[in-house]
Amino acid sequence: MKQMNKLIVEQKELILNNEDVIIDKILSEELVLQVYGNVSCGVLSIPSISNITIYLHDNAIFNIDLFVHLNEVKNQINIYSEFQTKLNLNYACTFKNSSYLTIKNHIKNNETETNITVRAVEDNGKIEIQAEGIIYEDTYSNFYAEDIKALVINNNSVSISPNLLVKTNAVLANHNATISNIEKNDLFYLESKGLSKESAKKVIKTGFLKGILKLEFLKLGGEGNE
Amino acid sequence: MLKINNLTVKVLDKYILKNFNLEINEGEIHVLMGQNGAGKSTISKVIMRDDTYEVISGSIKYNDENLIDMSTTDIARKGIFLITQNPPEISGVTNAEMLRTSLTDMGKNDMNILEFNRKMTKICDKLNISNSFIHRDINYNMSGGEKKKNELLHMWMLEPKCIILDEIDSGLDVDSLKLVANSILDYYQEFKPSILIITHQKSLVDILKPNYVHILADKKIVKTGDYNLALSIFENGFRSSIMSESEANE
Repeated sequence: MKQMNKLIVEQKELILNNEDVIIDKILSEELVLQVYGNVSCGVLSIPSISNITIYLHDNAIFNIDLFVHLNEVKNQINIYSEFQTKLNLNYACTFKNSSYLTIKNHIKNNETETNITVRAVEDNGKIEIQAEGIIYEDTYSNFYAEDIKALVINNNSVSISPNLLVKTNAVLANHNATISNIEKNDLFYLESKGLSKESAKKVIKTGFLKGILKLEFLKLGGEGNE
Repeated sequence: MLKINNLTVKVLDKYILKNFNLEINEGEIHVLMGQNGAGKSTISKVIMRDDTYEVISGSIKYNDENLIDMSTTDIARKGIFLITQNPPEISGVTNAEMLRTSLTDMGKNDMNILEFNRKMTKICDKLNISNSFIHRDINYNMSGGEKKKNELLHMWMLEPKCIILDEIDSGLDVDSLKLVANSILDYYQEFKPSILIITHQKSLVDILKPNYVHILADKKIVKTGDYNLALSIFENGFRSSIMSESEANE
C-alpha cells in the first residue's frame, strides 16, 4: 500500500501538487484546495460548518475520497475545473440529526471529466443533498456525471436534488439519484450465511459506503470522524 | 436429520406446497425434480425461513429441532447452507469480510488472518478461480459461472452439514458444470453432509449419484425412486415418469 502523508489542516488554503495526502482533520470553516498535477486525497473529517473550494488547474487529475460522519453539519463544496482536468469525487457519509451537503460544479472550460459519487447512510437523522452541475455556454468536450444514493434505515427524511444546468450542446452529462432501504433479499442472503441481522446490516451499510472509495487506506481505515 | 412433515405453504393467497413430506438422513443425497413453477425453489427458501413464504401448517425439523420457529441466522448456524440459482450481488461487501463476520458470529473463527487467507487461497485453487475472489465483492460483476463457484467458496469455508443446492447448474457451461459438480462431490466425500439438490440437469445427477430422486407435482412429492427415476425423467419426461406402470401400459 502506498504511504500517504497525514495532515491536520489549519490554514485556509492548501496547495496540492503531484502528491497523495490524507486530511485527518480540517480546522477552518473555509478551505481552498489548489490542485496541480496528479493528486489523490482522502478526507476523514470535516467541521460542522465547512466550505471547501476546489480549483483544478490545467491538466490536473484529482481523486478525492471523503469518508465522514455528518452530525449537524453544513458542508458545501465548490468545484472549478480548468482545461483538460479530471475529477473523481467520492463522498461517503453517515448522517445523524440534520445535515446538509451541497456540491456545486462550475464547468467553464473544455475537455474536462467530472465524476461525482455520493453515498449516504442514515444514522438516525435526515439529510438534504444538492448536487449542482453548471456547464457554461460555448464549452465543449466535457463529461459530467453525478451518481447519488442514500440508504435509509429508520425511514427518516432524505432529500436529494441532482441539478444539471447545461448551457451548451457539446457535453455528455448524466445524473442519477436513488433513495432506498436495505434490500430484503441481501439481508436474507447474509443471514443465510450465518450473520446476525445486526452484523448483516452493518456490513451492508459499510459496504455501501466503502464500495465507492478508491483509496485503499480509507477502505481499511475507520469510519469517518466518529 | 432433516424431516419435513405435511408442510403447507402459501405466498399471498396462492398455495405453493400442500402436505409436502420429505426426510433426508445424515449423509444422504436427494434430488428434487419437477416442472418449472412446481415449487421446488420454494422448499429451499422455506427451510431457510424466508418470510416471503407463509407456513400454514406442518413442521420442518432438523435434528429434532423445529426450524419453523427459528430465524434464518439460527438455521444457518445449525449448519444448513443454501445456494440459490441467482444469488444477489452485494457491492462493497467482500467475500473475506462476510465470511470472517459469519465465522466470528458463529464462534467458529479460530483462524488468524494468515490462516484464513491460506485456507481461502487453497479453496480458490481447488475451484480454479483467482485468489482475487477473496477480496472481491460478493457476486458483484461476476458471471453466472463465477457466482456459483463463489458460492462454493463460501460453502467450503463455512463447512455446513446440510446443503441445499437450488439449480446450482443453471447457466453453467459444460466445463464449469463438471468442476462445480466435482467440487460438491469432493466436499461430500470429505464431510459427508446431507444434500438436497434441485436440478433439471443430468450431468449433476450423474456425477453426484443421489440415494433418492423425488418428483414434485401438484404441490407435493408424488413419486420417489432412485437414480433410475431420474434417468426415466430425462428420457421420458415428468408425465410418463409419474404414471404407474399399469397406467403407462393403458
